[in-house]
Amino acid sequence: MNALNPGGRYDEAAAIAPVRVAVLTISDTRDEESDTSGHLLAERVAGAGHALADKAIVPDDVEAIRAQIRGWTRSGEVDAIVTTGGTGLTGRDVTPEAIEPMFDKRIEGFSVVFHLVSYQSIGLSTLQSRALAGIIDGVFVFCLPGSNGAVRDGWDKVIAPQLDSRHRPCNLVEIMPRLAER
Amino acid sequence: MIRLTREPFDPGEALNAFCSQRAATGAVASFVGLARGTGASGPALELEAYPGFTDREIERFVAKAVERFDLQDAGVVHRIGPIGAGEAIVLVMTAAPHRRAAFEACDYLMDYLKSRAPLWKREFGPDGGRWVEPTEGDLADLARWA
Repeated sequence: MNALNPGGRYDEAAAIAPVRVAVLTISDTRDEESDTSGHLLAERVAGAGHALADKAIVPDDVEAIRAQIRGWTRSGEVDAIVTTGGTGLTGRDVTPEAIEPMFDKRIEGFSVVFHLVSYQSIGLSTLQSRALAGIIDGVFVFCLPGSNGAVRDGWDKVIAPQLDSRHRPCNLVEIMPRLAER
Repeated sequence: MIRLTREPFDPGEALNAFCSQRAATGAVASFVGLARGTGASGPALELEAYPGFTDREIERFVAKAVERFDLQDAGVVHRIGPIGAGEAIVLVMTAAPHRRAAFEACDYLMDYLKSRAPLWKREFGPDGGRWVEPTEGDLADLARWA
């Protein structure tokens, strides 16, 4: 097996169990018309057979990001959140600073796998993003960079297969009922 | 008018069509982006789109430009697929009563198309293809309009 080919397959006989996904764009400059990567995520979520639970845009501001994320994780209406933007290295990029302290558990492998995939696309430029994921209040939270390329790599190649209940040998959906257990 | 095309197009022909029947227009600005060659054989670059999504997104942004600059009309023709050196990649056209709005809107639309439009660009060099993200310069250009 190629080290960068994850393998896995889909149980085509089964129906997908839809997941309720909220999409958050984190940017100082984007509005609804210019939020291409947010639209792209919303399109991919619905196209995969999931429910788009909500979609919002917040500025690169720690408190604004936390308030939106917490609102969703405590709503009981969202199973997973995908954010786009604010993962870079500049002073304005604060998505990891906002979200990481909120994690009940961090999914270390997400960053690793995202960088493997992204490295194949854009080479060492992948160093300039800090994609991350974790669990907050029993809700999966994935943080992708703001570019369309990163959204395509992150959603199509990493998140989508893992949020698909038909994916074998494992997926994140089958453990969702147990995320909040004590 | 938004057109995504896999075939080479003639920017002059498209611009002539855009300029016709415009009694109320005082200014049309246009920009043509060409594929810069690297000297290697084969296509200079390849653009991928999500059919049905990419055109809708560009349409949405063009409507924003029309509103922001009070344009009478705007058009975009964009190549997708493999593109040879010297071929036109993109044509942006804007029509307004006066030139300033037409120039600025053209610049604005190009900055969007370069950095934010849902098009995935792969450049080909001597050591194969590589996906290209917007550069810091592209993003700084786009930030001028915030």
